[in-house]
Amino acid sequence: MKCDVTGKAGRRRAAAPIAPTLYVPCTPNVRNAPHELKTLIWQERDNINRIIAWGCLHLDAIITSNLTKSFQEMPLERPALSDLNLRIKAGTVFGFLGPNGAGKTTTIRLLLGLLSPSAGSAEVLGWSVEREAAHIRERVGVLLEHHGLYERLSAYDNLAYFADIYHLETRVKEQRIKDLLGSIGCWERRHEKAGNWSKGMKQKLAIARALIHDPELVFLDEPTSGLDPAAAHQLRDELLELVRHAGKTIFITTHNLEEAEKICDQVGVIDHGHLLAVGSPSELRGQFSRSKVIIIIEDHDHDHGAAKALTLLESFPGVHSVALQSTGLHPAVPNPIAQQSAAVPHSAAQCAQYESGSPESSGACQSRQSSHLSRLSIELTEPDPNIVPNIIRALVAADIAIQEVHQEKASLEDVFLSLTKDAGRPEA
Amino acid sequence: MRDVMTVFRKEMKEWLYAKGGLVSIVFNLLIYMGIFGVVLPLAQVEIWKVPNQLTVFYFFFLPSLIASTTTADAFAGERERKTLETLLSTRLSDRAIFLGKLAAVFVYTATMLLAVDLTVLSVVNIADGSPQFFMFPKETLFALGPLAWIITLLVANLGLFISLKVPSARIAQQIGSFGSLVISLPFLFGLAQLSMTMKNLVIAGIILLAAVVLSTAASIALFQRQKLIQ
Repeated sequence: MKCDVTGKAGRRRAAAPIAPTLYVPCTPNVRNAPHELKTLIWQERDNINRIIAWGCLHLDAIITSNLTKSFQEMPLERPALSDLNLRIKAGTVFGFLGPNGAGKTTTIRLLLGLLSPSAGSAEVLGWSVEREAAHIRERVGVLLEHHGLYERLSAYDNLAYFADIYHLETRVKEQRIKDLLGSIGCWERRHEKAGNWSKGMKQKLAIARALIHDPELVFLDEPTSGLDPAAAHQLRDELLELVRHAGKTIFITTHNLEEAEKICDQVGVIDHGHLLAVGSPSELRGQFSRSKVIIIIEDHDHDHGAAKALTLLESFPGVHSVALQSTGLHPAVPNPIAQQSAAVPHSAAQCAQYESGSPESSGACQSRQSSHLSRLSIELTEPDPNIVPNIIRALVAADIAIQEVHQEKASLEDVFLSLTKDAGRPEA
Repeated sequence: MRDVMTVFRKEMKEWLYAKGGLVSIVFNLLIYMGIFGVVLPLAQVEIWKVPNQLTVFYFFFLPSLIASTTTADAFAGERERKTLETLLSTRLSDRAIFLGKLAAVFVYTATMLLAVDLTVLSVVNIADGSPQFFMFPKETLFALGPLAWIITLLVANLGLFISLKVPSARIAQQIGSFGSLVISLPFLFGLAQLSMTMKNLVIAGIILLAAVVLSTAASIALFQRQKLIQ
């Protein structure tokens, strides 16, 4: 079978030279390939990874189809994982988000063949998790919930053990250990027992161990937990480097939504064993949460500005909902919000005097003693760039004094919370 | 075989490099050598000069004692230290992991036994005071060598199986020690009744070897990583 594989440059591959449209014989994945072909693919993985890194070829690293797992001690109607359907492209970072007990670790265990599915199927790098799990484990690197280091052994011996498990030649093994320990800044401490290292250092060492055999796919369960911000940042950079230059696929579970937003091409949100959503962070933001605009208005007691603004905006096109809240702050009193505010359009001429500190401003300020600041929290129905200017124009036209405007972009955290908030936690 | 050796080397390193590991090994060795190598032989030097049923303590009880306490840590210890799941996530086959650990227990126990046997031989020679070098009768040599190794493998198998099933090394050690004692008693009694002829010892060896083969096969069959993950 021939398929047209177009050289699409991903958002993080813009710097890489783009190959022209390439025609290569391929299948969507290699599941139907005979054993010899799978072995050949494994032998040629470096070249294949290079092709993937160029963006010329898209293979699926992980495919799950109605993957379900129930445990004996759990009620049948509440499986640990229920009908999981995923397609994760090779050469991408996939983030799996969910609260504790959502089914993330169970998914990783199923994909590694450490658990057998109760129903459904899954393929990792073209190999079936049920029948060919040994081939999967040969080709993946793993960092599970616990670092799993042998604390009685030195850092070097820990890595050497796993290098031996993966049959690395002595020279390659030594170079690889040197490179990996060097990259985490621990080469000088290689003969120290891993048990004497700090939690963060152990985590780094465990990640180095997961990469010792240069795997095609890396499973990382909460990799940055226990790392300081600088180390977490460095790790993120290194993971991106792995994907960008080596075409590796990374399956990462995390509670750190900011981290997921920064490094993941695709994100899946899971709760109670059900996949609630999957897509790129921006797609999920657009799909499951609304952008917010916060407008601080000056509300004089006599003109009921806040109530007027509320009435105006409730029926405004593009506005989903409006909430009004008094800040309790007075406009004459400098406040942190006003100090941070960007250029703000004001409705009345005295605002300029107020700002410039002209002789008339003291009178204007005195008049402001009888007014206070109100906060309008506006949820938009869609991320249309024209809506906010239109709202401001309408408020100014209605002679409502605006102190500050700022737009809150929905974060992955908003998506996560909106998806998981309604799901009740299982009874203890 | 390469994978078995990889696991074997790691096990040996872990024992040696554990906190106080080498000291603990030497201390244990000195205790075994002191009690079984010096005190008991000095009390009854004559029993070593002819095949004697009392040597059953050396080729049955001692290997059972050492192997059962050593195997406790094999899987239960890995589970306790949370390294088991990472190990099971590697390419190593179930068989390689099991046999690697079995080999480590066997080599450790056999080394201890060899040290004790050599001590016994030295003590008996010194106590005897004869200018001629004394060597154990061939029946005793067979019992202290091949028969003791077969028994080591049998007990190690059972110990590893227990270690697979329990949550902590301490529980594995308790069950292993108690279990090996309970299992040992009828064997000790049976072997003590056995006339120490070469023929009888070879028959006992063949039966025990068959038990080793069966128990190893059963342990490997029962060692399935999917059942070990909770």
